[in-house]
Amino acid sequence: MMERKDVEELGARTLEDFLETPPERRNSYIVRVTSGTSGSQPLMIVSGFHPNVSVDMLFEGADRTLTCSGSLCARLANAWVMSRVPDTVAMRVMSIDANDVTPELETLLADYAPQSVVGLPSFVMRALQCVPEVARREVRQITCIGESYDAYLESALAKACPGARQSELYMANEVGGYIGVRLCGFLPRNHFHPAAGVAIEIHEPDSEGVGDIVVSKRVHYKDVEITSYRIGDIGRLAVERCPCGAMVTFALLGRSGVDYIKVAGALLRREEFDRVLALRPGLIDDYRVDVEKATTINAAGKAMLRLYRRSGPGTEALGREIADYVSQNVFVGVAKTYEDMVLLGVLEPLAFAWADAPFPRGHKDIKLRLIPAR
Amino acid sequence: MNDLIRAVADSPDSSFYSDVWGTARDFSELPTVARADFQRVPLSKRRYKKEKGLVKIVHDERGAFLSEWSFRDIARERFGVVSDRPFVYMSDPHEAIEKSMWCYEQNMLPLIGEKDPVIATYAASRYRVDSLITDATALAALAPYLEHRTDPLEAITVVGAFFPLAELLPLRSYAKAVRLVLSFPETGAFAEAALDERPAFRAFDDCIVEKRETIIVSKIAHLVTPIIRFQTSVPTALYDGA
Repeated sequence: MMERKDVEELGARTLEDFLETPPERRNSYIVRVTSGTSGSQPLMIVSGFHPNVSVDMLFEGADRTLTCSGSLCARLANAWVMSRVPDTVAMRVMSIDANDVTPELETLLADYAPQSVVGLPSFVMRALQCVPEVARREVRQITCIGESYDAYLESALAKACPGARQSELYMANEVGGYIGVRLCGFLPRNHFHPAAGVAIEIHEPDSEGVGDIVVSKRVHYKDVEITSYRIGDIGRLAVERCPCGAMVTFALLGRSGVDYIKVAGALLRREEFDRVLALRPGLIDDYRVDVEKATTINAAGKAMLRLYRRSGPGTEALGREIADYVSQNVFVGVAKTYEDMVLLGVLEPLAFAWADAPFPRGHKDIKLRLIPAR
Repeated sequence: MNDLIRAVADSPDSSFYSDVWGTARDFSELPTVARADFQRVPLSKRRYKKEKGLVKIVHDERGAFLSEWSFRDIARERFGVVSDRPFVYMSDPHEAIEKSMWCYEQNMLPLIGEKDPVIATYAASRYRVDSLITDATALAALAPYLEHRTDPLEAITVVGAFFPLAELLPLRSYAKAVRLVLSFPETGAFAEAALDERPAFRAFDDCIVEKRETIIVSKIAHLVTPIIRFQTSVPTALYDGA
């Protein structure tokens, strides 16, 4: 099993190899640099353009594509892919970041009138708000990359561009590009087929089939292989075969320790807490879930729901009511709620506490966290 | 240039220039255009050809506008020098992507510097860059990296229309050659000079530079939006090395 440090070393080897014996066609490669937000130094890898990664994956044959990404490497990669279409194809790409979202953008996008939009789904939504409605109706493909997105955003994108098909690409810079694709039109959000040349396994799946996603692929720099890399995301393989004929389908359930925490056989997902609390708007303004690390293998899992209201902490009774509501409605398994797991002895009853002050917000809005056992 | 003028005047794709020119067709009689015209006329109305390429947003205090460049035209520009491992670090991301694509078109593998100079210079060190394409504004963030390099770069190219000499002259210690390339996002590169106390620019072969109070530039290449008698804001005195 490869861990991140192994992939870092492999990336370093591709770089060293390129420095010592550069290939003749240097412009068939790209230097990928991660942002280093995973808590380590930036990772660098030299990867190639996979011939099976078709331009249609990104641009769907659109004449005018808009990409939305903060990463310069990602923006350059999109331009690089575009430059490789045949000369007879007059496709264009405009890439924007947050600094381009000014009041003038609406006029510019009304003129450019993108037919395809690619990027981080939250930023795509923001950019689409700058596209006049008439132009938004011409958008025929929205390709989401770089973050998973929830049902609310999916619905908002569909409402913004009613004629657009939504697809997703699952990728990671440290493995040299794409891992999974959702293009066939049959898969729901956050479900993918492995990209060409990629093998996906689920490591140590639990009774629901959920476990760590493990990736094997060629980096395409001198056929360097990544073998069984635990990428840090959690997923599940689908049992049914996709109507498109693809042999393998997997669901991306989130980032381990950020969107998803496994505790004592239950899976606490941020998306589930968001969904349930969104059904009762106005109860609270923000929340966090602290999950205690298990001290023994058979110990029941413990979690505390921390609640915040701008108007001040609520009563004990209100807090208990909210915690019970969440416990009875949050699914922590395919067909089991938190409350079900309490009755089975897998989890202790959901504790709660009122916060006196707003929760601090960092680079990522992390609502679930694993804490040492008290 | 006469061929270009005829093609542009007769183009069914756009009337951007013919609206400005009226009946004039002789180069020296053509009215000039300027950035304000690019801001006034949407890109879709001043596209004279359709090729695969990039569309950039040009931010200006008087209004943003779009500038489109085909990959083929980007390849013909003179944004840098050919080297083994170029590093592109610009203050404007659109320009950084364009200059990086220029590197690709020259069969180079560029390192594009992310905005955070810590990440960018870390990557530059790991990649052992040997040339730099940058602009005067972005250079300040690279100073610590350049000062700590043990070997000089093959070349540094400073692209743009802003060349604060007091800040640029120290660059001569960090590279074997330092070029200043006059360029606007909408015109592309049109002249260059070696960095010294009084740099005198020389127009590229396929560019025509006219000297009035400010420089007027024309490019022979048939670009997406051709550059024909484009009035720049570059003082002729600066161009001549005053």
